[in-house]
Amino acid sequence: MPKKVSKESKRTSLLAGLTRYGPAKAFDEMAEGRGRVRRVYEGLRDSLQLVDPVRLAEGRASLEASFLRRGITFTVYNDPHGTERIFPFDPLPRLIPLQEWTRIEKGLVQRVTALNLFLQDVYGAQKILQEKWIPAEIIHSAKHLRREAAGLKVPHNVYIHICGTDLIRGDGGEYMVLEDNGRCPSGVSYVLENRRALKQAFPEWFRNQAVRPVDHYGADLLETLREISPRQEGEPVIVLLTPGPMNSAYFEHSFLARQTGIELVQGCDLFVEGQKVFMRTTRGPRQVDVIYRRIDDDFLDPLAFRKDSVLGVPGLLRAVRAGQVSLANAIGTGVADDKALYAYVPKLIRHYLGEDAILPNVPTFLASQPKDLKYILQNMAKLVVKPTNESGGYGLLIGPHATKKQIAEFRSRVRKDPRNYIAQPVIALSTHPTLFGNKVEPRHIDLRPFVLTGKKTRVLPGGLTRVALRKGSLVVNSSQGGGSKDTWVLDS
Amino acid sequence: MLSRVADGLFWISRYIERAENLARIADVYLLDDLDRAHGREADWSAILQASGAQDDFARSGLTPSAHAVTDFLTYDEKNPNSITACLDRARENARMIRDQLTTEMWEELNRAWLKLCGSSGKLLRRNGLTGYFREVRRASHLFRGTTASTLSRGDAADFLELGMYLERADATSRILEAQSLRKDQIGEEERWAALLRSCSARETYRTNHQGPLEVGGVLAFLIHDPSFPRSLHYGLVQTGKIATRLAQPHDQVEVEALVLAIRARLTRAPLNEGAGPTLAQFLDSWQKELQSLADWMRERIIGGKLDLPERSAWRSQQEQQQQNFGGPLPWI
Repeated sequence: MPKKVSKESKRTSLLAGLTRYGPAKAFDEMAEGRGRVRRVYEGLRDSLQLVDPVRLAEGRASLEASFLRRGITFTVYNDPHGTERIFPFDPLPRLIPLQEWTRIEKGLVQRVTALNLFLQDVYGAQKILQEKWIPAEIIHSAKHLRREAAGLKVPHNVYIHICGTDLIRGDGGEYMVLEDNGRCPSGVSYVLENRRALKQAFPEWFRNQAVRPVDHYGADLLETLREISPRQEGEPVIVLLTPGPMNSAYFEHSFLARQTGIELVQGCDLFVEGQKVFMRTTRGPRQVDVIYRRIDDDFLDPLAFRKDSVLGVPGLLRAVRAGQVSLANAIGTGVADDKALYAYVPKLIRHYLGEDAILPNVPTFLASQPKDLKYILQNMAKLVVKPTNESGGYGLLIGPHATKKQIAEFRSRVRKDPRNYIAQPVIALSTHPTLFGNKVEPRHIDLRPFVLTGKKTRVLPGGLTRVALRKGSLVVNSSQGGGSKDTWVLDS
Repeated sequence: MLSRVADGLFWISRYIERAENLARIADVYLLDDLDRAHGREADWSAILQASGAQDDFARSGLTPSAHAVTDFLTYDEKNPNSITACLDRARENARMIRDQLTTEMWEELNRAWLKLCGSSGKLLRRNGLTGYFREVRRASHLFRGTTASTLSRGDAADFLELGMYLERADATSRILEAQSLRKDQIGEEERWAALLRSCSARETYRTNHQGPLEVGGVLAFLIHDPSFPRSLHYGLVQTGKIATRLAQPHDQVEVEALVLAIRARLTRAPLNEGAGPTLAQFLDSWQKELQSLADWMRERIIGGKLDLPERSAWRSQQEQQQQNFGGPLPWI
């Protein structure tokens, strides 16, 4: 039912704050100025103008109930009852015009391609260590460098098959890469489930909007995994190796297994005989060709890495080395998402591809460089300081929010172990209208797109938009008041 | 199919069936207790013994009474085999093999769990346990129905049915045991009526047997009836059929022989008090035979070695795995 909205009715809305919605202190995704909406958001704005508060409340309630009913939850750690929670979902979608997306997509592919070439170099010819156009020390000292993987051949020379790159937008709305996640990036299940849930709850918002679909992700993932199978003839047997149901992302593991139709396995389901990997089935052993693993390198094989691992498969590395089984992602990709290396990624792009980076980095100071170290120590109160080998925002310092004592403590930590720290200026993250009751307010967001690489590269349109739900909060992760949004790439 | 998945399906089914049967036993006792004249307490030790909870109950330090026992069987945290504990485990198993269930099956089970366990279960029990027990039975039936109408008839469906029939063959024998062990002053007619009711068998029995209820007829029906879905005979025959279907070709003869041997002993079940083994002895050995059949099936049909890691190490390592979900955004 097409809706003609008269100019008169456009002025008021049942959603408080929508008519006069405007950017706060940062770049806002929807509003250019108070009450001035960017073109890509006009259609959505019109739908929202007409939203009936009762209908809205019903829709929201049904959204929550459906997440809970479907078990779309994450496991809360350090809780003896193994509590599961839903990841809060904000119904107002984040919109990206196709033109903008096309550029992002190019930038992502470029970045992943360069990172794969880098890994091929590090674990293959090791020219980068001899030519020294970046400090070899950065690589040698990387926590996630796996010397066991040196000389290992991987299909199509691809190491990072599933990549989640975190993007943020600064003051002027320019997209910047915040972090590369080349180990086990998570969150794609929410992209698919958010879309499904929003379509069910508010189908009218999708009318007259050309939203790029996302539900082919399962098929794309399966195709990617098939492309790296070492099997010459016949259908490859592919499995997803999960740490188990107590892992926070277990829902995603089982979700992806269902989407792709591959078997969800735990370490105890697999064993290695000779150089081949088998799974234990009711009809006897069955050979496995590809493992999409969601456990860390350290836990993959107790014979090669951590001896106390109960999650892995003894002898797995031997089978990988013999080329009898492929892992996605490959072993040792963590050296590419090390935060000290991050600073050099634009340089990697130039070196390996002869191109300038399409998506810039956030300016970064390396504590391992004497000049940068001095700057960091003097300006810590203005900076964000991060450990290089952690992800998920653990152990970092936000200068402007820190006490003098915390800053002093971080100074001594950085001094003691400069290799392990980087610092970045504080950037005003973009904001997005977010729903609180019947009120619309701006909240900070970021974006995690997903890139699949096998023989071909496939980018999921959009990605996961995470939002800091608490006012003024900078935290977007699931356990600390973060939520997510559906993300639309719009063919306008 | 993965052996662990087969095991999971088998146990989801067993736990759901177990929860249902606990609800059946407890409900009948609870209703009987309402009919009783003041001062005449039911024999609660019989139901505890039949449901295998007497030791846990003794350890809990509670005094047997209608409330204490039914609460204990239903949700007490000190009872590892309570209804809620069974539902917890059914769901935990289902979550473990979530990818193998249809969405509808998972949602049905998850909905039952959300409703019957945790704080909403507490709320539901406030209105009386009878209503709660009805919901437990309904949850089980909805899960079976959803399975029948959404899951392909293959190995997965077979493992679920295998668990259900095996558990039921065991549970019906426990219900029989509970009634025959009762030492309270319950009238014979009342006793056998209660027995039939706990098996949803009263109406079916009545269509074929008029006249007063008597022990021989009721026992014969619940033990030997070839078509009643909760009889011992039916449970065993179905278990055997499914197990034969699932077994590797070279094991089929063996499974048939095993089931036939148990069936032969079933024909000698005592239906009246008299010489020879008592009903209680017979039921006890029946339960042991089913257990050894289950062990055989675990070894040969589900697949031998299935060692899940030691729980605390397993949990802490699972929690250590980085899933790179991203963390706080350190920006203003």
